[in-house]
Amino acid sequence: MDVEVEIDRLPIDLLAYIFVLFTSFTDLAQASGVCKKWKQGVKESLARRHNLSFAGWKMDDDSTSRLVFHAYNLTKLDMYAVVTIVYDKSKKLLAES
Amino acid sequence: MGEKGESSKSAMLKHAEEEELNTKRLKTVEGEESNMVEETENIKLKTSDEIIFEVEPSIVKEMVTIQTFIEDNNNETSIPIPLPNVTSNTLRRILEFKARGFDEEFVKTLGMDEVFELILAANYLNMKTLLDILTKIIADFIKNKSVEFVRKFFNIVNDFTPEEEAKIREENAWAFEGFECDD
Repeated sequence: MDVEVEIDRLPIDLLAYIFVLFTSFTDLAQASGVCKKWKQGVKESLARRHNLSFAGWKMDDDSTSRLVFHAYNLTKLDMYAVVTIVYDKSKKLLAES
Repeated sequence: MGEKGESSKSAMLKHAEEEELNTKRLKTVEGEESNMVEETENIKLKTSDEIIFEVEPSIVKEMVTIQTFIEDNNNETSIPIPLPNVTSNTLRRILEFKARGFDEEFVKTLGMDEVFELILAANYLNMKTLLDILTKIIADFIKNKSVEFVRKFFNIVNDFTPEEEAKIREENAWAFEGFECDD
C-alpha cells in the first residue's frame, strides 16, 4: 500500500478539516512542522475555529498572538489561566541557579 | 431438539428476508438496465469506471451533491448521474456504510488507502456524517505522533529548508515542553 500517493491527494481544505479536530496545541504544532502543505492546513484549521482555549497552556506572547491572528472566525476566546513565559536565556539561567 | 431446529429454520428465513430486502434496496447494474424496481423510484449513479448503481432516493438523501444535481435538473432521475470522482468500489463501500448506519467500528477495519479514498469521495458527495467519521479516524491516528513518525508513516517529503524548519521549531518550542510522542 502506497500511503504517500493517498495522503498527497488530500487537498489543504480536507487537511484543515482533520486538524480542526485537534484539541491540543502540541498536535497542531507537530502537524505544522511536517511539510508546507500541512502547515497551511493548520493555518486554515485555525481560521475555521469558533472556540479557542489557552487554559493551562504555557506559551509566550508571540505564539499566543500568532494563533489568535490566524483564528479570525473566533466567537469565544478563553484566556483563563494562561501562563506567558519569556524565552530569555538570562532569566532561565537565573531560575536555574 | 425440535425447538432448536425450528429456531434455526426461523433464523434462516429471517436471513433470507433480509437478503431479499437488501437486494431490493440496492441493485448494481453493470452495463444493462434493471427492471427490478420501477424507474421512477430509483436514482441511477454512474461511477468513474462506468458502473451504474440503481439506488432508492432515501439512500442518497445524505449525498448533498446528488440532491443538488437532481434539483438543478428539474428532478429528472431517468438519466444516470455521473460521479467522475468516485469509483464503483468506493461507492459500494459508501452504500455499505449507509446500510449499516455509518458503523464507526466497521470503518476502523479499513486500510489507510481506503480511508483516504473514502474521504475524497465523501467530500465530493458532500456527506458530512461520513466525512466526520473518516476525518476523526485520521485525526485520532495523527494525535500524539512526532513529526518524524508522521513523515515516515505517510512517506511525506520534508519540503522545508533547514532555516524554515529551525524557525518552526523555535516558534513552537512552548508546545513541546514535557512532550512525549508515540513513535
